[in-house]
Amino acid sequence: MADVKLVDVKKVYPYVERKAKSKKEAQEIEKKKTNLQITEEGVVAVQKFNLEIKDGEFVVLVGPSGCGKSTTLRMIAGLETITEGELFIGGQLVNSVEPKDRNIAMVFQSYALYPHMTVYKNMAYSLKIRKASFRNEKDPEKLRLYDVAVAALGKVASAQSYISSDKIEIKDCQKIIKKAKGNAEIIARATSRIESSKEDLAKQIALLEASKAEAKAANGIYVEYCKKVVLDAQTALDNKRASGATEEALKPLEDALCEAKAPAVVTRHLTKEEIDKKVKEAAKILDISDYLGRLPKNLSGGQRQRVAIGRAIVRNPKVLLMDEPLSNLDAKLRNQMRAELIKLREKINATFVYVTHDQIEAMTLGDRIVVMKDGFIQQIGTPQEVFDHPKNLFVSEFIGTPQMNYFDAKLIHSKGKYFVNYGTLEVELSPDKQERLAALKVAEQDVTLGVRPDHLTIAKAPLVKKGEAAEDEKGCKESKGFIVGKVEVSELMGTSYHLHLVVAGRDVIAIVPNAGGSANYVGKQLDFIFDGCCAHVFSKETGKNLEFAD
Amino acid sequence: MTKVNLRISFEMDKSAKVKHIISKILAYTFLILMAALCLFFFYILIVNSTKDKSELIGAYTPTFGTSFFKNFWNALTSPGNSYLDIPLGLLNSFIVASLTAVVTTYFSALTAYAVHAYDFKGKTFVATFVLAIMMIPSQVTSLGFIRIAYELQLTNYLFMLILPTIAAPSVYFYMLQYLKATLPLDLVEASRMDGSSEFMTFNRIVLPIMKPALAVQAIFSFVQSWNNYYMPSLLLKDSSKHTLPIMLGLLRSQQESQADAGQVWMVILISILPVVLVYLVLSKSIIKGVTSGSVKG
Repeated sequence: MADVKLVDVKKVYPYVERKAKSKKEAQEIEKKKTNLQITEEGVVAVQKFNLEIKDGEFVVLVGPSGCGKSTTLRMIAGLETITEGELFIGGQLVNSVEPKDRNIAMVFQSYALYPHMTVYKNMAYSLKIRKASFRNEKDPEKLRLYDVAVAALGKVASAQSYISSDKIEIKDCQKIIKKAKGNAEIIARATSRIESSKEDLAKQIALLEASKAEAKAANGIYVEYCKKVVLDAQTALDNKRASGATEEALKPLEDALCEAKAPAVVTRHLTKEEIDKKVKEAAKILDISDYLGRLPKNLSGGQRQRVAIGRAIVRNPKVLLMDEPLSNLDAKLRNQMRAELIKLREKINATFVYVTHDQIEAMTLGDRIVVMKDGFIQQIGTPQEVFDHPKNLFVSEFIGTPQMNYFDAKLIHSKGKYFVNYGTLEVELSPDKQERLAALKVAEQDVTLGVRPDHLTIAKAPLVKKGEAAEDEKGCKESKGFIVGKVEVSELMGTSYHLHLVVAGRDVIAIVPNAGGSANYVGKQLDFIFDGCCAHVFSKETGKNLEFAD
Repeated sequence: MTKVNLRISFEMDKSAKVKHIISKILAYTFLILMAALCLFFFYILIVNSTKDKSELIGAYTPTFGTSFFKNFWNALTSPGNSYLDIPLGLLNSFIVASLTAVVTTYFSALTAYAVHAYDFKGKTFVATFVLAIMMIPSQVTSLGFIRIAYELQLTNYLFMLILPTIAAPSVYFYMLQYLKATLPLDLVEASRMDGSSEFMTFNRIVLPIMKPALAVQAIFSFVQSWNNYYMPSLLLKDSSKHTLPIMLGLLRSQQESQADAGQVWMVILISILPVVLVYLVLSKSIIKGVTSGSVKG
């Protein structure tokens, strides 16, 4: 297990301008260009990505296609280089560490099973080629000194990797300046980047020297300690032998000497038995023990998916990455596998990073969800937070099915309280929303009002008459009016109806419970109300939720 | 009404059946004829190898002779021709041809994999350049190679026949097309994530997937090298280094009166056997759909 930290990560692909052969093609390229974020460096796929994934956490990256979620995952895996920013796994900077040395596993969307190997061999492959380290727990002091020495070496490596990335940055900026053709703005930006890189470079070089000395010292202490332990054991043995002890009495001391000579950590290939045990364990967790002898082509889609997951978990990776693992399965199997993934999480110890475009998967699987769009993070939060308090229009639209309904409404601030006003309907916002809006001193303005379909309820007419003030003695719904909509389509989903309405020219969906019997809604004019806690107010200009500051 | 309809359809069925049978007969006759045509030459070869020298000179009859073992013995020992050692030629040829098959397929696959799986500067240039080399006939390039060989005094070495076959643009092109069709890059990435180095990925994951293509190209390059007369005749002067085609050439170029035609036919028969053998062994590896089931979508 390990934590993953991404700091200001950015990914830029080189942009290769294609020459247009015809007018039509030129238009298409122009169209593409407007969709892409092209800067002087190239096409920006991911930027300003800051995320801290805790040890053992399940984080889901979700967003529409092309939002950079897969690119981010591949950067964590090491399959894509990181253009800018830093990536830490388990506290160690791994920007320039090869994927094979990061000790992370990945499940691919396409499964990517080795076609010529049986399920068993597919799972055993990574165990066979990797060396595993075994810690010698018998001498904790030696182990501690060893860890200190290794940590010092890690500092050296980290400094070296900073230095190399700084050097690359300087080179890149110099290239940009060359290409800039005298564009003052670009040159200024690149020069400032060079300056800061140079500053950092000097700092890191100093750090490198210091950490090198530290590593040398730590290594010296470790070696010294090892020598001492061996010497002590040897002298004890020699003394005993000199005193004329029998062979039998010498035996424990000889064993002690052997132990003293053993290194703190042994790195070796796993034996066949160890591999066999691990593969069978993983197979048991995933319920694929019966297929171990089969080739991937003789498996069904769900079984292949299990094997792909098995291959990933068999070596207990620190981080398990999943790139839309369920999107190739049919709906029923997907639901089943989703439940199994939740169960799997309890059985294995790993940090999960999961990429999907399916918001249901995101909601059900994740401890935290990262909603992305156009390479930017839109919101990070628990599924509940993201669902209840979407930070902007995009998040509110993307999370939740059917999607949120929007109305053109007004935010009214009177007598120290906030109301939303839609036509004749006026709803007081819930206290927590009041608080947040008041804290930000939000002014009265036109807003986009968002209400989820589940939160639109049919007013049991005539609870209050249209246009009259709400003086209902129960006081549960303080509405002065209704949203009036005509039902165009009514879909029976089982426990509920999805009603497609037209409200003032906008399409609106409302979910009403199925009370049994044959309710016929189509063509009817219905009055709807909603609760103050479920009304989301978004700025008309920026699309941001007015409850949040940034 | 229905009865009439049924009858009509039955009659139509009948005529369709007859047509079907006739077309089948025609097709099979044609195929049998073509097969016979192909096998005819082998038949003549086998028949001739059983005949005596005198039988071959006189009036020809396509029936088996009685001198098979005599010819066989003559072929192996080549009496009267001290400079001919057919078993040695067989061995030389086999060494050259099999090593050629191995290095040609391996290095071509390696090159194709590099072009397919990696992004590097000048990749398109490299790919087109290799294809452009394909346009140059090998006779043209061989002149330069032979000059180099003479300058370095490296003639008379068998490895000089094997070395230049590492660069085989057409094999590379075939491998590239095969890789594009069968190797999803996800597999390469999966292998990287599993912890294998780039070479290990190639040897353990990519090569097994390419088995059918390797087998096809190995057969081709083996046969090509086995039948190669041009390069060995220019490079190999020492009779102990001669390959089979050269020995065959020497045998044929003897004077009519001296030559033992039965022996020549027998050597030809012997020379085609390894090719058949290699084909039988490698053709087992040409299995369809080796990658099916690895990835989806």
